[in-house]
Amino acid sequence: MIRLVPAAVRRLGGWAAGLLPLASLLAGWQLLGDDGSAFFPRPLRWVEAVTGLGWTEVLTAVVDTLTRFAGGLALAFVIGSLLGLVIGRLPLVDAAVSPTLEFLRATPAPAVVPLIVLIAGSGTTTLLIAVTLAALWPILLNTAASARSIEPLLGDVAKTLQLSTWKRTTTITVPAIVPGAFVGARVALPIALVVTLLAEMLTGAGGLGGSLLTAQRTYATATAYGLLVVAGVLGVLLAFVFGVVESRVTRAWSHGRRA
Amino acid sequence: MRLPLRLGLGMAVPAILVVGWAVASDLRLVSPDALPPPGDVLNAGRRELATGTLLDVLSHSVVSALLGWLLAAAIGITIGLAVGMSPRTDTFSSSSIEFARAIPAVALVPVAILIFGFDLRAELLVVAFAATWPVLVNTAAAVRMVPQQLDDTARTLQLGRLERLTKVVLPAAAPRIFVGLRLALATAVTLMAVAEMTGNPDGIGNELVLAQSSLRPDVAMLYTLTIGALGVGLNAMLLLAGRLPGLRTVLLAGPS
Repeated sequence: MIRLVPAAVRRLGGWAAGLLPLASLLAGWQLLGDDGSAFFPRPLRWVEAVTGLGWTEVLTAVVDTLTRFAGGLALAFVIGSLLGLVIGRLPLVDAAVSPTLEFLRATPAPAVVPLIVLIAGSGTTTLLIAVTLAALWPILLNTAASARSIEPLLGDVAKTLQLSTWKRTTTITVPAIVPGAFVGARVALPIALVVTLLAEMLTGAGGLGGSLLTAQRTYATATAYGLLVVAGVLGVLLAFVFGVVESRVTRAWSHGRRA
Repeated sequence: MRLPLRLGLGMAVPAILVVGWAVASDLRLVSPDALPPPGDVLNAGRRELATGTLLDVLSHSVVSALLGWLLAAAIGITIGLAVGMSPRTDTFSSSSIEFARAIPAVALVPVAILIFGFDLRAELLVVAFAATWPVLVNTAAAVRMVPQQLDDTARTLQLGRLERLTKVVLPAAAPRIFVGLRLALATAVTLMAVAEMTGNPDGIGNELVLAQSSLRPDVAMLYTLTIGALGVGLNAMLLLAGRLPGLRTVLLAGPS
């Protein structure tokens, strides 16, 4: 009987079924909780509190955060893929730079933020630098790995066909490394979001991070919960949108490649 | 490329960077307010060690990260096993897990502080929350990948559920679970730093923010490097632990 249900509907049903734990938690909390509780205000109070801040306020904050996040991620994508390409294709550079890169990658990105604030001040540039640095490493390392493993045969094909450097770059190199760069960006996404919010908190630059900090400082517990949910929804949406973009690009570039 | 050449090149870059750093500071190419000279950072280190601050905050941070990591391991492995072994449990929980995973853990800090106050428990909540997901996801994946053959063999031998778990599933899943644990450790160190920077006024993260607000780039640099070393050090220790006789074959063998 289940087999008669179209696959898409079943998938949607599966997705909805998966929300059961979260939904029951919120419902149970709402039913059994106490609005007077200082620590665990009920979910509907969160909605009240956030809407109480004013839609313009909340939206402005979210848009601010999104702009900084997207800007930093985009910058990291461009720089990371270019550097990764260079490192991957030049074995000498690769050997020289890799150990240092491994150490830098293992350093928690948030730990660098205060130093950046000291060096670059409290402005938007600082935020951008912090997010870019945080997102850079996974993209760079993944691109380098892709660049290293470009099928050597393709180099011979390029020579045989006497492809110009431009042609060679656009038809062989770029399609080979772009999917890898996207994988790196996907890995970098969560940490870039965390660093964006963190930098906002440390520099008083407003945005969602600033709003969260204000809620904490003014003991607005319900607002803090509500903004937490906003941050969660933001994270889910960003991951979803990025997943769609990534699969489109990867399908376009990987068409015809083996595996 | 031959190993000596590789090693030499690899060590050359950090050496050049450090030397360049010292020279640039000496020649005043960079303002000492922006990038402190290496000598200053070393002196700051010596001072912090002498006052006992460095060891104090280091021990707080290490304890916090490790405790949070252990909590995350316990919760992550338990739920991961449940989700991996039972497709029905998976269906009825995967969207929730995906949503919870996507929450940026730093957003949890205000709630944690408002519940627990400026306390280690707030820090642990944030660290454990963030570190659970790598463990959970990798454990579930590991269990799902246990070859059908092994599972069938276990059933043929009429092993009970618990025996199946301990004698077949866990040993087969162990290498991948270990990968999850290593990822979780890096996450734990990161979120420990975040929680200490924005919430719990204790530990290295707090010293880092204090150095920032009191405009001490040398101290800030010192603690930034300390956190980096902490992350690298803990990861190395975990890897070494995995190489111990007894654990080695279980944890480091890849999928066979």
